Amino acid sequence: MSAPAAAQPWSRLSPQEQRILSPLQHDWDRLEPQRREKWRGLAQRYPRMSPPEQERLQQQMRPWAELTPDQRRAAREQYRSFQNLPPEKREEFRRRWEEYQRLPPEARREYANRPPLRDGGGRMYYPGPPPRNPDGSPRVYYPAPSGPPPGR
Amino acid sequence: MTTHDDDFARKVTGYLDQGTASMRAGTAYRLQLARQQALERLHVGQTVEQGELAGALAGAGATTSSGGGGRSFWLSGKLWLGILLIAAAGVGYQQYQSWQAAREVVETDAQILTSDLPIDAYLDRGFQNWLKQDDR
Repeated sequence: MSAPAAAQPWSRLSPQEQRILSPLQHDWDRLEPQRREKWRGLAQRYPRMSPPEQERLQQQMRPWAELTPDQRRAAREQYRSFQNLPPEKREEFRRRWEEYQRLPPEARREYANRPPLRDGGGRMYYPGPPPRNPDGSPRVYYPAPSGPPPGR
Repeated sequence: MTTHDDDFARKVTGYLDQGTASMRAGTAYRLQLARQQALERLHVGQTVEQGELAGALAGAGATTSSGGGGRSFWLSGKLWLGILLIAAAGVGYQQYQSWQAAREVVETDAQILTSDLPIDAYLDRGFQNWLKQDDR
C-alpha cells in the first residue's frame, strides 16, 4: 500500500473500513501514516475472522492504539515468545492468567510494583506446573504486610 | 618545359589514347573496377589512420585503463542500462523487504488483538513477577 493511499483521512475511508475501525474514529486523523496503514491492513483481515475474533478485535482496538510504541513492541515480542511455547505450556499460561486475575487488587499492585523479573535473555517467563496446596487446591500468594520482598 | 618536350608528351598521349580507344569493353570494365577498388582501399586506409590518431590523442588524457577504447566503454549505453537495472533491482528488493516486515507486524497485531488472552497478559509486569515467584 503506497504512503499517500495509507494517509487517507477518516472521511475518505470506505464505509466498511469506517465500520470496522469505528473505535479509532476520533483519533484516526492524528495517527501517523504508517499506523493508519497497519490498521487498514487489519481491517482487510476482519472479514476472514470468526465472529468472536471480530468482537475481540473491536474491544481491544482502542487499548492497543493507546499503548506507546515501546509497549506495542514489547507485547509483540512477548506474544511471539508465547507462540513458541508447546501447546501444553500455552494452556498453562492461560490458566495462570485467570488465576492471577482472582488475586485481590492490592496483591496484583504489589507484584506490579516490583522490579521486573526476567531470565538471562530478557524473555518472557513461562510457568512450570502450578504450585498446589497439600489438598490439591491452587496455591495463592499474598504480599507480606511489611518487610522486604522475598528473594531480595 | 621545352618545345621538344611538349612534342614528345603529345605523341605519348596520342599513342595512349589510340590504345584505350581500341580496348575491348570487358578489359576497360575490369580496369575501371580495379581502379575503383584501389581508390576505396586508399580511402579506408586514410579513415583508419585518422581514427588511430584521434584515439592516441584522447588516450593521452583518458582516465580508464582500457587506453584508446576508454571513452567508448563509459559512453556505452549498455553499460549504463546494466547499472540502472542493478540499482532498480536493489531498490525494489529493499522495498519488498520493508513491505514484508510491515505485513508481518500487521499479522502479529491481528493475532494479538484476536487472541483469547487480553493485551495485559503480555504486558503485565505484576503477572510476570507472580509467575516467577510462584515457581520458586
